[in-house]
Amino acid sequence: MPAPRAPSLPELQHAFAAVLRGADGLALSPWIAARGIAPVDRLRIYRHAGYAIHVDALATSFPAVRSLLGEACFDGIATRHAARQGSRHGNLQQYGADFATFLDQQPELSGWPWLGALARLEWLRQQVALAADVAAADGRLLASVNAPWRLRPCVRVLVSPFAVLDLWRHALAPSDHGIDPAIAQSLLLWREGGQVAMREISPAQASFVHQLRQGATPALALAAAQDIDPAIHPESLLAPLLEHALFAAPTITEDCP
Amino acid sequence: MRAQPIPTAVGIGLRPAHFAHVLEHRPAVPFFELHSENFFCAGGALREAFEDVRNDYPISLHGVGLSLGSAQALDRRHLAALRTLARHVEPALISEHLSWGAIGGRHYNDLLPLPYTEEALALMVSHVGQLQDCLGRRVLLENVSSYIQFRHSTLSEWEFLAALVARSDCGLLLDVNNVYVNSVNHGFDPHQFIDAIPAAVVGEIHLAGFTRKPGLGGALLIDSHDCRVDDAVWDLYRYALAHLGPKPTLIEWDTALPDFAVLEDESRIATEHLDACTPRTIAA
Repeated sequence: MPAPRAPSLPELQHAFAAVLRGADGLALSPWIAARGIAPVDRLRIYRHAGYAIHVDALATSFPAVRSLLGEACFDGIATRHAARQGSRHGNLQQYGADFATFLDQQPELSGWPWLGALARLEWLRQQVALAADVAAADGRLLASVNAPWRLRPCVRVLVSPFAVLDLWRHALAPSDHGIDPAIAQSLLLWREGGQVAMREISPAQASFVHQLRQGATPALALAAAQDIDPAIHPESLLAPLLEHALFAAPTITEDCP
Repeated sequence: MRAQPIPTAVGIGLRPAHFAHVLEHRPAVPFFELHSENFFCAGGALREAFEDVRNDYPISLHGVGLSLGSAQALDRRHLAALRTLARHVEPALISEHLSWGAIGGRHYNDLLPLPYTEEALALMVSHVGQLQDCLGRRVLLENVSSYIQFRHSTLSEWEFLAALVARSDCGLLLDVNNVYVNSVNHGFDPHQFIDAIPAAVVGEIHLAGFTRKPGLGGALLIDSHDCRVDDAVWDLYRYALAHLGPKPTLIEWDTALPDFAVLEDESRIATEHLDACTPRTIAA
């Protein structure tokens, strides 16, 4: 019987990757030297190490979710995420963008429908923390309402049907105050003094900021806000952005040839 | 401001948890090495701390996520981010790993072992060339620890490394701990590995701690980077210095980070070995 053909590099890496996602490794075993240790045991070291790398990354990005779930439960769900969803980037700072949606889909978490929303807040906090540094614009640049106003890259908004800010605070610094998770909250997030800052804003204010982030003109952003709250005054829309100096100049990015 | 050159001395791998200590106390460390990917972000507190360290110390950038050995195209976004960072920081050294970590669109964010075949060598040569072209400079490639040896390898690890360096004109970051770990895990003489490495291509040496994995029926060491350098690795480091001559050396510690003073103490021990180094073959 002829010896089986050795796997090509792509074949070997796909088979190895299947092991890292949970396969038993028997298909790869003939190509691994045992030296007293079963090849499947050697492969298992890589699978466990890979899971640990991704669980640690999610634990770093989602401390409030981890605090509420408890270490063991969080690690179990994070391991499941690592096996099923995995990472799409070589940079672990970008791992976890889909974790909130993944939490929404886990049957055992159906009693905590707000957990995914909390994870969305934590992911936004990471984006804010890592966003580019851009100096605040001079207030006089806001003279025209027909040209887009650019916000600093660290500015984000979150509109949630749940009390995500209260939940986040409670997760990291539990208090005796009761929380009703079903109360909707809209948040403005930015970076101040190197730290991520958050405050609650109205849904109309959130819509205004969201529209500006999308590049809408101030007039269009105002119209979107007034669709939500016809009585809202432009000054109240601008107030949080001016108070925290959140208007900025554009940034430049580049690609590799 | 161009970065300062890396001296032939013992530096420390700097992790974010130690930034505050370093910026407050400005310890007398000859150079720091940092993981490139941590600073792909364009701003924020971590990036600001990195800029402060970079202004006061020679810096080496050490990549862990490019997956040079993956049988797929290199991630252009990752390359672009590294190039942007390198242009801004102008580090004295840039290094990556002889490993793979991504296939089929998934990234496993680990340093996975390659078979030492001509096919893998050709791929590595191509990808290292692409990396060096993108950066416009020579890079160092690090040998990785492994728990698996592929039966269909046609080259030894050291033959593969030497061929890669010769064909791609990159340098070598020789991780002495990884040489020792692999020698135990795969049953070879680590001195044979060191002897096969041309001294001129080694731009840096890494040292770290390993742990023993029990209960598998055979000896297996895990490259855990969570403890002090083992005596056997210190012995091999002295042997490597005698063969290679004095080289910039780095203490790595990545998990269960101790107080910075422990890293300084490991650095002190390495410095004693480095200062006592009498090259056996460097002049030949």
